[in-house]
Amino acid sequence: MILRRVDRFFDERLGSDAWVRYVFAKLYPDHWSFYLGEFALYCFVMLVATGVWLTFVFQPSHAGAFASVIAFTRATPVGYLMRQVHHWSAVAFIAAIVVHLGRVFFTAAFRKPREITWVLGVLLLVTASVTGFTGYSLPDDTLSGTGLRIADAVLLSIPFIGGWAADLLNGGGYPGPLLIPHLYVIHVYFLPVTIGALLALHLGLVFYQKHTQFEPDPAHVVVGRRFWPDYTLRTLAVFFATAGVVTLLGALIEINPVENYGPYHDWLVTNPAAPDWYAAWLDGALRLGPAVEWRIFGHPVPAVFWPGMVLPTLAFLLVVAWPWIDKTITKRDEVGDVLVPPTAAPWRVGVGAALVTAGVVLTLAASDDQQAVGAHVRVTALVTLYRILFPFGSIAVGLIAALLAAELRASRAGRGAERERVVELVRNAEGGFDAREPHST
Amino acid sequence: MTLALGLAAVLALASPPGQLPYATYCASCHGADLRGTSNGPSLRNAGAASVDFELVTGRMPAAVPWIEVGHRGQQLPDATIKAIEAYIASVAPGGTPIPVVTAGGDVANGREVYVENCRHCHGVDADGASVGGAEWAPSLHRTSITQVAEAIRAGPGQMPRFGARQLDDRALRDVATYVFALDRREATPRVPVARDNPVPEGLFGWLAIGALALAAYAFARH
Ligand code: HEC
Ligand code: HEC
Repeated sequence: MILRRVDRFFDERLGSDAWVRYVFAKLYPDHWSFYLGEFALYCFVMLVATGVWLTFVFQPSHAGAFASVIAFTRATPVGYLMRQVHHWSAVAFIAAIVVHLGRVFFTAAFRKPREITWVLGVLLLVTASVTGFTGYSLPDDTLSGTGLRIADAVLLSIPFIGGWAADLLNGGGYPGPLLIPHLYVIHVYFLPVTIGALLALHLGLVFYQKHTQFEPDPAHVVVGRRFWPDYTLRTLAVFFATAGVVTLLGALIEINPVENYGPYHDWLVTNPAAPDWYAAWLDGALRLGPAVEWRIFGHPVPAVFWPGMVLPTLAFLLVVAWPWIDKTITKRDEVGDVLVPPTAAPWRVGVGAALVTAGVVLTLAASDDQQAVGAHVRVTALVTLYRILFPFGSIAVGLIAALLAAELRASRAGRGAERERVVELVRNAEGGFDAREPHST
Repeated sequence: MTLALGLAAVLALASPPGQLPYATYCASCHGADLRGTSNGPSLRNAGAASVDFELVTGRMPAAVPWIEVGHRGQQLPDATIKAIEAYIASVAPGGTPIPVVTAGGDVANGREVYVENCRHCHGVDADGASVGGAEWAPSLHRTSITQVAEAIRAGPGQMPRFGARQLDDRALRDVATYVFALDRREATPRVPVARDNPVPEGLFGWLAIGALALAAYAFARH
């Protein structure tokens, strides 16, 4: 009743009915792999919800940050849970983005006309990772302080502008009095707003261009479920499942126990330090990077510049430009509304598997110190091992994956041919049927 | 043989108690006069805390001078250790005495002392951690409360020595109590995932997303 009145109110003034009807009738995909992106979306919702709460109890200054975190964590179970759920949501958020990106990559959903959506998605991954890193740094504990010190060194290594950029961020030498306030504004304002904007564009494009699908449809019909009520209920279920999982993690498993890490002082360096998982590959790259110091135009460039700045930039460019690289390789630029099964393009499976392996090796390298203690071997031996695995292991895994995909494709094609074999059915004496090769009589 | 035994007996009678075990187990490396040799450092300034720590954790007597020995459990009988300690103390008096600590310190304060002074080397749960190269700070879970206090005052190997000005006796007792509590997992009533290293936490994040994806696979169309 009230709904109808509200509806009429808006319709008479804005003519909104047609639009509402359009939205309600819009079709959404129901393939399981299309929910991966929604996990990320709902993790972000949880991040904003818990993050807003945290802004009321956190004190963004070098003097107060750590103490305020300990205070609100200890004061109420709610404070503890909010912080835990916030951090777990961040960890799961980026995992969901990566899984979603993998789905889009391996099914070639990034093809024309969806290249822009792909680029926006990659930007979302980068922004989310930076947001995560700044958030990890805010409690100002010894673990994240060590991470910030490393990030500061990488920033300083940029030729010509490094010193200036680091000064700007720190508001003086490291760790400057403005470092935590700056990180705070970046973390609670600039980056979340950027994520919100990117997300709006990303989803707007998905809405506007319609989703891809596995069914090859000759009549260009989009297959899916209506927004209302089918899809609404589904996506609500996905929201509650996601929220439930991150809340359970928050309630049951302790994350980032800063109380045990202690407050950061710049004379303390944690030896067994590593960042959150999504930044670990960068730490690993720093640990594996060669100890070379070249000069560029007489300007010394520290060794951390290559693994710390150049490698991630190259990786970013490779991923952002993938739709165009893919086009160049396949020499095809027609509209790709129909998804391809991953095995259809074994070479793409190979490239993807190699990139994933490279990332995993670098991530493992970020814990080499702890592995060394656990296995009682020298850290330097592990560094050598990972230096070998990074290029050669990646290539090997890529090749094996491509071969397996080709094998799968071949056996699928074989089975398909089997299924389509034409036979002639002939009545036999018992009243049943016998299959016969056609024209074999 | 008889000559050697006889010589030993004469030495044992003629010399202060403890000189014989010292000569047997230690002198080859640290020198008969405790001034050190090319195989081991001088013990003139070592102090009782250091000597006791090295002997009770089994670091000394080392088998060969060039292989560093970690905690391997006491190697010599108690009486021999007492005798050697008494001998070293008689030849080179002074130095840091064996600290007297008992359990029952303040665990909360001990945690603060630990995170400020020890955690960055020994790790958040005192499980041990690499301190670069082939060196590592050992796990503290096999260490008795007295040995913790001795290590703090003596500063073995790469570990800095903490004097009474850095950590007073109360802090010493509290941190030793905390390490002992950590040892019995009393101080961390939680599911320990991350120990100075959040990457394993990431694994749980991936498991969560994996579980969600499995649920989607089970309930949605495919
Ligand atoms: C095989 C040679 C060797 C023998 C035998 C040996 N030590 Fe040592 N000792 C060393 C070396 C080498 C070091 C220094 C390196 C280290 O700390 O691991 C050392 C260090 C020490 C220290 C620490 C000194 C300091 O200032 O930190 C003490 C105390 C000590 N030894 C006592 C003893 C006693 C007591 C014995 C006899 C029970 C003994 N050692 C037997 C080689 C030896
Ligand atoms: C600079 C790093 C560093 C710091 C800081 C440090 N340690 Fe150590 N610690 C070491 C190393 C390295 C060893 C091993 C020494 C050896 O075996 O020669 C060690 C050994 C020990 C041992 C002996 C363990 C065993 O199994 O025998 C104890 C106990 C200990 N440390 C306690 C502490 C306490 C308590 C603190 C804080 C007050 C502390 N350490 C601070 C590096 C450190």
